Amino acid sequence: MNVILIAVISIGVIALVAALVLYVASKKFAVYEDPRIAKVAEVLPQANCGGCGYPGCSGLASAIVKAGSLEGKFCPVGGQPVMEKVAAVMGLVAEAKEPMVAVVRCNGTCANRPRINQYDGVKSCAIAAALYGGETGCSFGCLGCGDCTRACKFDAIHMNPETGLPEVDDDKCTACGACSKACPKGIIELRKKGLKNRRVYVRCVNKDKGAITRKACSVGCIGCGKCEKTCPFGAITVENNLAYIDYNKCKSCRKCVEVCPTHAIIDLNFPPKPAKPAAPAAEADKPVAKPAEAVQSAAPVAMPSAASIVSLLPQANCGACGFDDCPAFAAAIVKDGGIGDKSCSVGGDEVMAKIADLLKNGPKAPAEAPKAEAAPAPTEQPAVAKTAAPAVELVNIAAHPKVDVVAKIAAQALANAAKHPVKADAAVVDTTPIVPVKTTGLLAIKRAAKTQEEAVAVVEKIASTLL
Amino acid sequence: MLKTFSIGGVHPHGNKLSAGQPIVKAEIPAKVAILLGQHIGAPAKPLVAKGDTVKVGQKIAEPGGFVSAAIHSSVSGKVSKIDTIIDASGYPKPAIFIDVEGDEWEESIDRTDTLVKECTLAPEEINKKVADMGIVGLGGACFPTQVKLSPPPTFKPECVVINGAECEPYLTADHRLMLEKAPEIVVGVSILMKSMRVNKAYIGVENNKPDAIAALEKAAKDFKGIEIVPLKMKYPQGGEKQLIQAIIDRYVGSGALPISTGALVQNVGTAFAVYEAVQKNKPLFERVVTVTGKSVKNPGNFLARIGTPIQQLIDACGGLPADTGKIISGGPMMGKALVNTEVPTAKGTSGITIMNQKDAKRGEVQPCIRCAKCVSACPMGLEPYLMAQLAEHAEFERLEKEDIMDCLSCGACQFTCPANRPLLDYISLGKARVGAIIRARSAKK
Amino acid sequence: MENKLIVSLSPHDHANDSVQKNMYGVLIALIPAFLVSLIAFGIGSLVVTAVSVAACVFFEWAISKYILKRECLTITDGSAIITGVLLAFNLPSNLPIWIIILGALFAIGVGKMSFGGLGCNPFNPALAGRIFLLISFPVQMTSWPVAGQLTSYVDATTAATPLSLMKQAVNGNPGALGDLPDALGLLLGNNIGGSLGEVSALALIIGGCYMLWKKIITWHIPVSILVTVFVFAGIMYMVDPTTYPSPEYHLLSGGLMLGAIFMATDYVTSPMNHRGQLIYGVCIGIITMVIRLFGSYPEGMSFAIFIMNAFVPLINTYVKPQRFSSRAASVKK
Repeated sequence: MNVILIAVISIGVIALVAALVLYVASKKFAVYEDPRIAKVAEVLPQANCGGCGYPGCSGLASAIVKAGSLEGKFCPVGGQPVMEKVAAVMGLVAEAKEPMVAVVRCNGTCANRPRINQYDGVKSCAIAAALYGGETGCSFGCLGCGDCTRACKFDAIHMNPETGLPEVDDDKCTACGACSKACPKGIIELRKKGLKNRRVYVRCVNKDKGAITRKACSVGCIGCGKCEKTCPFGAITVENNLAYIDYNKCKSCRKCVEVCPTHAIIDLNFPPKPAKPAAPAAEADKPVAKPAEAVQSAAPVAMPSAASIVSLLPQANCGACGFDDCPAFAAAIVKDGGIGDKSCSVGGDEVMAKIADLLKNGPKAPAEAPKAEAAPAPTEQPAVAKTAAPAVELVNIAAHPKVDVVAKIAAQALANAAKHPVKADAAVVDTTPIVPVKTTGLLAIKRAAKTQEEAVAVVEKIASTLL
Repeated sequence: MLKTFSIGGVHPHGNKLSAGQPIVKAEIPAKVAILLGQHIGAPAKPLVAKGDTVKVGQKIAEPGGFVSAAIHSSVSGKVSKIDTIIDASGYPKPAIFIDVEGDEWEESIDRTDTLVKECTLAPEEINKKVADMGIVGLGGACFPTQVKLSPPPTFKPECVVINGAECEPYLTADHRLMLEKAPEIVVGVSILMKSMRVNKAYIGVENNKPDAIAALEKAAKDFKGIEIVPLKMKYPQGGEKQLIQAIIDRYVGSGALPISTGALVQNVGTAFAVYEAVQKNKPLFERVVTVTGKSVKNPGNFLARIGTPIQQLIDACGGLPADTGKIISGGPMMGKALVNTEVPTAKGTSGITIMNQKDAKRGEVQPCIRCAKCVSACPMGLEPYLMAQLAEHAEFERLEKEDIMDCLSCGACQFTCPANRPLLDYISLGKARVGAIIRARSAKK
Repeated sequence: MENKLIVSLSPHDHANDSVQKNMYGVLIALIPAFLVSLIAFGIGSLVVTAVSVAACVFFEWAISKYILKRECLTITDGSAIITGVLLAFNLPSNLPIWIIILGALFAIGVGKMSFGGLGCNPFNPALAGRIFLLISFPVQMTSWPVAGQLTSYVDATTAATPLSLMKQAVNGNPGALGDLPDALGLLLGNNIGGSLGEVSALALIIGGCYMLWKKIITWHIPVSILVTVFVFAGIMYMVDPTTYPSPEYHLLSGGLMLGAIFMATDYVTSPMNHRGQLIYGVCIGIITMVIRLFGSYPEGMSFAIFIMNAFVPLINTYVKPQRFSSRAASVKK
């Protein structure tokens, strides 16, 4: 009996002393934390992925509470619903933000982009990128080793073994940005998810000149600029031989997708478009009308000489069409027996129409060629676009004694026009030279004017101010 | 007892198939592509444009910064374009393309063969001449020589060490140069000694080249202070730090410059180029390139103009073998595998090694068996198995503490590994990332 | 040229060393000891070794395929065979087959595969199996047959081994030392009792020299263990020659040679640089002698190695090889 009593008392005393020590310690060494941090952390998804830019969910919670506002903070995993819950805890209002998704900007599949060597080494994109430009002729494209797939914590990106490219699962992707950071080539971009998951983007990051890109990959962007001209919303910019669609301006009209000669622009998750009418419309001014189709359906005429085609071309020799220079472009047309899907972005639809005309109707008097003077003769058809696609015409100011000044003034005119609202009957003159003014003396003018005469008048006015 | 370095080292097969082939002048190509980035430092800035006519030896690009080098045309002809071409780095890099017409040299170059022993220039003038002639280290790293010849004043140079080791298997360019041009090399060494204001020089040569050692010893008799040091054959004896340790028994500290030991190291090819530059007014536009390989019909050593596409040199050896697996610029231990045969030769191209399919394929990777052979092989006393593991798991802070920046990337670890583990692949990644972290840290300060 | 060019980072050359070469090299080095054991223990040795090897290989294959569900890369590289042989060399030649199989299962299953397979185990698998059997079946594991019985297996006559005699001496019966065979006999293995592999120190030393020549092992671990044991035993002998035998007896008897040359040098479980290996060897030597002289077991080698295996990660972390650049400060200009 005594033994039991002693045992019980001694253990009880030890327990009491231990409890006292613990109580004192918990009070003395307590760390004060704002209770809201715990409340906010509770409503967060607990993925601890770092997609918000903070270390883990508790990191985001502390940052929000410390800052006292939701400015600049967003949980991509939880999305809008979770941010609203956080706002409720904090007593704030959550700002609406569009959901984003990761997009793989490369379509260089094994079929499109043939391999020209074999990589032997660790299957890691970071290591392969340090070694060389890759197994294909495109040194910008996806290396296919899967660093992005390993970086993803949401099982949202996987390599497709047939194409050799990563594919994003829209439903699982939380736009945390891990794959984008892991990719050493910068191919993965976070873009707006779009209504009904539909989005349009350029599936290429190749900055090589068009001819080189074309050789390496059949669906690469050659920087021809057709999309830039076609876009009614000014959402596309072409820089360094690569087109980029600004997802804030893009309205998913898909006009650029139709005009892209290499099919580098992708419209994802759209329903298939109804088939276009085969015959061209009665009006001659379709924005992306292919005169070539009309030519090929007509009875074949004897092919004109390459020289006669060359004389119609702008002589820019810029290579934007994908061929080395204008004679090569003309020779290719003669060789292929038709225009096919070739186009001259500098000359634009007008020049292509003239070529189509030439092919259909045979050579005419050389007077048709665009004149190398300040005021070009008007062509048969008014080349005014029904929609907003501006035509490009060339005005040769090489002869002008102050050619550089003219270019500068014209540019200033544009800037001024941008500042003030444009009147319906005014001409907006965009004089970004497509080719160096010094070398060719040609100043390309883009306009949204109603008639060609107006643009000509504008240029004459500019030139006359200097006389 | 032959001198050698004391930590680590491996013994790959020498495979010096072309050691008996005298240097022959390679045919001048029809077109050359002279890269603008043939050296460590900023790429050179072109001085010519499309359509310009150039002569052999004409300066066509000037240094792009303090650590940079001039570039001279290796052919006479017309500049066809300034465009990009894929080089040994695997990426397209800017180069000056020239269509060759004839072989007209600059008049100032002395084309005679007579040995010019005396150098009357002052040290600063030597340095300026070396810079003007575009001389860079020809051992492979291509460091601009004039920068190396003017170290910061805190360092006191004591001797010149010449690297004639050529420890890479297959390569014999330096061997043939030492054998055939020993007197010129020795004069070049004396010029380097004068430039650094020292009176002692050592030429280290691995003992698998007894004929070269004999030739150099004979030539060095007339010069005071030049000693030929035979070295034990071990890879990487030709590494700067290992060479200094073997010859004068001094160690280069972590992150320190080799000149901190008092030794200025130059490759034997660089010494020859310095001779030609200072005594013959000849800029650097051609160099000896070994083209070799087990399946190559006639391996040889060529005096090739810079910018020659390697296809031409391969054709001169009997063409590309049908069983080619890899084409390497350099030797098999540290050379770079090329993506095609259009790659032009550059100042640093010491050889083209062609490996057949069987040798080129890496073995199957197995788990690490913790044998520690890589640790025994590492000449810097590092732990490759650990560095590879940390790099694989992106633990870059710990990597820095493991002294990864001391790594020479010599490849001895991966060469030795019985489990065929790609150690250097991971270590290279680790070095790149840790290097970036260090640079970002010092930029912040 | 038909095939595409191969592109990879340097180096592009390889020494042609392989895991297989190293493992089979160890097996070749074990042949002299195996031959001696055949001569000494006859059919028992054959049965024990064959069963042990077969069981180890089988379990490695079966566990890889059915439990880990991955392809067994290492089945042909010889590492399972080595575990089998080394385990067998630690066993008495009269051990029943079912006990051997249990030992193999523990050695491979727990000692190696449970940690992830080749390269991942912290403890020497053969040693793990041996210690497991020693603790679970102490009677069967300590009945050592006498040498020279070529045809008897389970029913072999057993007798005291040199180590057990030395243990008796320490425990208060110094006369037992008089029953020890002479040193030459220990070296050659004439009529010595013990486990399969430990009878002839000479055969083991020959194997060790072969491995040194083929650069499979380096001298650091075996030499540091043997020197430490010699010094320790020598000191004890000088203190009290009646209780303690002279040091060469310790060197040549028991599992010391086998352990020092084959078990402690196991790649996976030993330190990764020479400095660490020396420290490892010295500690093993000390622990072995402490157990042999002051512990309750006659043989301390297996436990010593096993304990030091646990310290190897610590040694790897704190003992680094000599860095080239660290010598810069120490050498005066």
